[in-house]
Amino acid sequence: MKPKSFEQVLEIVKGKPILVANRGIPARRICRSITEMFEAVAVMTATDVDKTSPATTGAHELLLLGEDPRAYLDLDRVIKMAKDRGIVAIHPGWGFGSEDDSFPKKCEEAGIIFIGPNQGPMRLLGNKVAVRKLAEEIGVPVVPGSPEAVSIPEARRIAKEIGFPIMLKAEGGGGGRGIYEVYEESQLESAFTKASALAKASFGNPRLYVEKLLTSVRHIEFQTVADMYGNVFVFDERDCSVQRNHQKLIEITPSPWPVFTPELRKELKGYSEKLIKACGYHSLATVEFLVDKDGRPYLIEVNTRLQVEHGITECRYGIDLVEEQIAIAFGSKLRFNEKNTKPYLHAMQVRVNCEDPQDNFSPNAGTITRYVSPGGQGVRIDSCICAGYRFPSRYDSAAALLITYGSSWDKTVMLMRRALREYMISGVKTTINFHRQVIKHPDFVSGYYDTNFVRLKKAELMSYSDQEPERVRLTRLVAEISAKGYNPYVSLGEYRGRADKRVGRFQLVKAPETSDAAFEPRITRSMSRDSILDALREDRSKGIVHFSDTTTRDITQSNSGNRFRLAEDRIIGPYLDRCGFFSLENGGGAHFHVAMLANMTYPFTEAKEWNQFAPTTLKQILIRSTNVLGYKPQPKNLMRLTGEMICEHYDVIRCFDFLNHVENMRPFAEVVLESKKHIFEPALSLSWAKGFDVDHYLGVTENILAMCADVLGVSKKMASQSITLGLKDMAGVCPPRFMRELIQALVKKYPDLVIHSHRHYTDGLFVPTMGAAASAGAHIVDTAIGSSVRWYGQGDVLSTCAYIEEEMGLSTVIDKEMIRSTNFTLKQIMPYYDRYCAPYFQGIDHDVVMHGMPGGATSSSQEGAMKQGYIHLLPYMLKFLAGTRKIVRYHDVTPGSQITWNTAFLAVTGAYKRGGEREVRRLLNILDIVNLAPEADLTAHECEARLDLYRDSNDAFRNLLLGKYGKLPLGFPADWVYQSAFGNDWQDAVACRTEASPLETLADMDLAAEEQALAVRLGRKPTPEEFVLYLNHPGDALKTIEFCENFGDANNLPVDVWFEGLEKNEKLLFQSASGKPHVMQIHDISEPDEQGICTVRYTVDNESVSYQVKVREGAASERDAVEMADLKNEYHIASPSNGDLWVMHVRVGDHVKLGEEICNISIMKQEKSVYAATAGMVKRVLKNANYQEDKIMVPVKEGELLVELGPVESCCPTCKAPVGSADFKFCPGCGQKI
Amino acid sequence: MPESDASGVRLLAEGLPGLADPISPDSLASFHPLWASDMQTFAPWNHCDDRTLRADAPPGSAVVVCGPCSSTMDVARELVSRGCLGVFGSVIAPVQTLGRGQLRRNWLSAPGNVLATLVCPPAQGLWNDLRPLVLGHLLAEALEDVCGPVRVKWPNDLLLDDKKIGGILVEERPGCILAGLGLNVAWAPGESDLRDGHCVAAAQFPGLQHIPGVLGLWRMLVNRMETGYTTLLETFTPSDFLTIFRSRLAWVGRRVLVTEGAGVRYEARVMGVSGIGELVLDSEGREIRLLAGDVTPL
Repeated sequence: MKPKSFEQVLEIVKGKPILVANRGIPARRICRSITEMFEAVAVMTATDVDKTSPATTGAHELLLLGEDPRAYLDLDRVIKMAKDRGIVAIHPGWGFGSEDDSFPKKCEEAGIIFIGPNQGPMRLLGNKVAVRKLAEEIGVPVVPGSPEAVSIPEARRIAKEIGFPIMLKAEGGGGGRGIYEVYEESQLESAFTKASALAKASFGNPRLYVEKLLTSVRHIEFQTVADMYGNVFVFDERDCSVQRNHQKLIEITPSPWPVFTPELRKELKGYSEKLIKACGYHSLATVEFLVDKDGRPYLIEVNTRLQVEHGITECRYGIDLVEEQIAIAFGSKLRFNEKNTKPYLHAMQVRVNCEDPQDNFSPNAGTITRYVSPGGQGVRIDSCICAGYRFPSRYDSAAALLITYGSSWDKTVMLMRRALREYMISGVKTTINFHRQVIKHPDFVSGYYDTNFVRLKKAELMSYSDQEPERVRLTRLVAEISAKGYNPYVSLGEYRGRADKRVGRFQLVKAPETSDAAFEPRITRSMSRDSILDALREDRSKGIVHFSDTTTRDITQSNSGNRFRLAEDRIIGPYLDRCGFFSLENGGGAHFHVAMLANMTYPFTEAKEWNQFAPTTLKQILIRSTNVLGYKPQPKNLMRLTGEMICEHYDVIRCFDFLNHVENMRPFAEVVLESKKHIFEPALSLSWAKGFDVDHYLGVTENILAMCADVLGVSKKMASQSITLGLKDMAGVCPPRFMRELIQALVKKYPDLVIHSHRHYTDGLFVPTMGAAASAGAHIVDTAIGSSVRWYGQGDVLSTCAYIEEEMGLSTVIDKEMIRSTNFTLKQIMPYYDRYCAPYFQGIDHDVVMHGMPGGATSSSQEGAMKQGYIHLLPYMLKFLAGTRKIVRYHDVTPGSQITWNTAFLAVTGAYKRGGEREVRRLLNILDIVNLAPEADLTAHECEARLDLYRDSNDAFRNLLLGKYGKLPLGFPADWVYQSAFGNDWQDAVACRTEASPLETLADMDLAAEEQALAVRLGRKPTPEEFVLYLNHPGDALKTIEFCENFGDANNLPVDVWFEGLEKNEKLLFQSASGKPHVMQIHDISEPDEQGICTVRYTVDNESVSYQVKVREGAASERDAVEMADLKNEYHIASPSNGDLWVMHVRVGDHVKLGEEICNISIMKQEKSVYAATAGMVKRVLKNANYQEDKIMVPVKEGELLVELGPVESCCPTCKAPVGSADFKFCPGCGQKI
Repeated sequence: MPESDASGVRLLAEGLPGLADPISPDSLASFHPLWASDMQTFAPWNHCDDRTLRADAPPGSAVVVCGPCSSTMDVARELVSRGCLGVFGSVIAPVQTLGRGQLRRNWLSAPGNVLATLVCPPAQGLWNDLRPLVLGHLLAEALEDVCGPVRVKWPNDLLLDDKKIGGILVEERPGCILAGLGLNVAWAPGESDLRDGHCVAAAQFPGLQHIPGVLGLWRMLVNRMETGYTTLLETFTPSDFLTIFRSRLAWVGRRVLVTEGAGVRYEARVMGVSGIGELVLDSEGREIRLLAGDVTPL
């Protein structure tokens, strides 16, 4: 054939159909060249899975191969279809048929040009033994070893010659497969047998040959191109030493390895040229060498096709290898020579695969939910994916080839770092993060590494987190809330639907700046404890009363059954800070728990931020003595650990005990009083009832001062000067006259003691009572900002202030204008909380003086009764509350209030179940009699009947009677109460009751073990805060940590979006944690599909995202929509693997023992027993099978929920209190949905 | 009771209450000429402290011979739970009253056949799921020396000329993984004995002349499986193993009737085994992967 010029070939090819018999990246890449200079028609093969894939966009036409995913391998069929279509040439790409030496022959027979070598040279170079022989003949160095396949004795002889370690390689193997490493002679025999067996099974050829195993080598290869006329050009080397199990991960040209010299390059290029010329080869080929650490080269193989890494050579030279390959196939003379083809750039390629490097590079398939490709100068991408593409599982995992090229190695590295930073793929795991680790590794940058790099540096290369930027994570949260219409994380149920009317967008209007510029706060965080207490005493002597503000803690917690998020605190806090309050109560109590339970915020991080946006005013926290921030007594070491963290962020620590058992406060006193800065405020829990009179409370105060004096090592008088005393009327029951009497007595007895009065609004007498407290000598009173004042929290600051100033003739030092500005701001926030938080049982309730339910518990307890279907019994429950408080006497505040409520609830519902309302009335009647009649007047019948009062009480109540919470303030109740609560065991109960603090017997927690357990759960070391949160509320802490990892800081979203989400086409402006502004807009929320999944399409900063949200359960018949077990829930019994369930042993209601066989799964005739991980009662059986009866097996998926157990004795998952009855839907203690 | 570390062949002379009858060398010999030959080979039987009879045989993995029992799997489970049988230990019996196959199907047998249970070692990851295939492959390999080329019908039935000569059932429970093996050495159920809808005809071994005895055969098989198992897991990855397994898989390319658990039946072509051991079938262009179910050639 006469050589053609390239231009002649262009003429010939123009407009002719050329087929790429391939898919994915190579198909797209080759189509590009076909359509560029040649202006030919690009035809691509495609199976059904691939026919709409992104790679097909580059083709003019598709040759449809049908549904068999392996159809690309059926060369005869492809060639026949190509012939029918009139294809003039076929490019095989890489993979599939590209190395099948029958392909060129078959094309030739069909009259189609094969864009590649001829069969003969292809077969020769493709056969390793033949290449080796050829190389030896023409003087190209090869790895020492046997020239051809050998027997075991021969292998032994050769191994002796070349020395161990050696490799046994399958004659028919390749691509890293079929290689066995043998390190010593003793292993040879067995390795040979096995390698041979595997080779036979894998490649149909058991023959093996021996090669020296080179332990530290670089993989260096040379791209060659040759035409049909004997012209050969060899390009500079590609260094492919970053490999994993012989699979290339990164390729570089030229080699950055300092040992690789120009002389060595020249030598190897010479070898490559010789090999190609020696066999009359044309087209592209790659000659691969290993180069040992001393620079000794060894030929390993020749690849007779276009290679994945060809792109870096193109970048180094500024050429198109595929174009040249096509031209050569059509008879063009090679255009490249040493004069016109010079290398001038460095280039590197990373293979971006849909694989999870952290899971041993396991391939993964799925929908690409987000795709942002890098760009800019120096970047080239060949990819086969886009956003929304469902990456198939049937083919290889290559998603993209990312190349950077620059004028130096360093520039290329920095470009690659930048490009990998820009590259974003979501929905499937990719190797991007792994490559980021490689590219920044100093060994990689220095160029000193070998093919073992990935294996040896595995630990460093795999230590990355797959976490995406916060803006991406946060917008997913917004998408979820928007699709559902409610925010599932606030734990308020499905409080609104997507189409429901909204409160509307939150667009804050700032208050006019009207505050008094000259106003100086009297008390600030920069002052010491003593100077603060002196200032309070001095002010009081002048008739000045101070205020604490509870807006961001107690008031919203009580009124809303919720609390403000940090997001709203950030708005309101700076205003509050400038009002001149003594303190801002911004933490503690349920507020701490709710941070995690509903607001997905770390409470101490929140407290820390408070001190940044509100730096001036003291911060106050409420602590529940032994329970600290939880619901059960904490071991002393945990109390101290939590206490130390509290002291980092709070200045005033108010501590109460529902029994007024002063010893329960001691560990906290020790932590707080250790510092000269913090103010310790032990508080008297106040009830207004028989026995709880002024003298009683004076006695408690005396105990408090004695304890504090002991801790401080000073006199009681000194102690009274060093603390403040809280008066905590949590129910709002003490009338003005009682508070006046109490405070006057306290002032008289302890003139230096600073008194801080706190009460709730429930009885409606907030203002006059606080006025009475102030006039009697209280130094500080608790109030809140008017627009947040509702029913059960505190009263309004300005009205209380007006009463104190105008009616009592005292004065105050607050900036009222600033309070008005605060109020104006708050008015804009409150509608969201009013609308979406507790709407039940609101309003003043003066009956609280009888039933005594404190603060927000008034409404939440009654709500619990209503939701459990006992609204008709509520009046009786309130009566029972009033009565029982006279029999077992303590203070109704956490956890006492929960105990009292549960006792009343259980007694009344128990009586109702026994005998309807008649029985309930009988119970209340006997309660009245017991409270009214003296013991001696009771008849035997009445004594018998009163034993029904506590027969249904729970463990918490019984523990209280035993003294397990501490000493009851007015002593143990009468024996008949024990008889009623404990039945026949009552005498034992009486005998073992105690008045000691529970702290004395509570063993310290093994903190190191707990921290380790948490680290295992998180897969990383927890922060100190995470650890403390976990110790206090394990379940909710984990939930919050997981939420923050998934979504970031939700406080960066405004309140309307938090509660209502976004509507279509609405814009959300928000900032991520770094302060960077972002914009999000939802374009569409689809209707839920049969699996209950909505697709939300939105843009964030102009990037398009599709996100799927499950909004309801899928149709039951859907096999894919199986309910998965929660692996952390031991009551969930999951299928251990995919397989077939053939026998289910349990039914609903069965009791199962720990370790009992529940069911059996068959997988490949292996029958796996599935056991109960805990004892329990069967609540649900989701899949049933009884093969022996009906010969039907039921397919199950790994992790699918098969059986759900419930506890034998139901306990609330949150507060651990016994729920009482299996039909309860809410916990009577904390309201948690069960 | 045999001691846990006891190796070699022992006879559970006093039986196990409720599980296995007492047995003596003489009574064993009366079950079948193959057993009689065993009793001669392993004689003399010496009384041991643990109230078993120990054979005069070189040490190897523990093989416990018990008398007629419900199932050797039950006996083995009891011995494992008592700490008397370790990994690769086995129990063999001349007859079973309640021999079981997959899904509590009956396993029919007659004296002279191998009825044994092998205690399997635990395995990690995919190896755990592949255990039935591994055992099938190893047993087939070991049997080739005795009866010629044995193929494996997925997952682990042993076929000689397309007839079933043996089967394996693995029962996995935490702390105890047992493989029950039945080999039709001297007798195979006839067509009328087999359950309706069975997959494949049964056959017995082609000739008994090379077989040293039931116990002798079993000892050979256990030794082969133990060495084979250990080296297989050490040397090969699961994917390597599956490549080897494919070469032994019966009926590749043939059209078969597939019976899935839920009573679903359809025709398909056997394509091979997937990367996790599932049977890959092609049903009119659609790829199907089976984890359970049966195939019968059409």
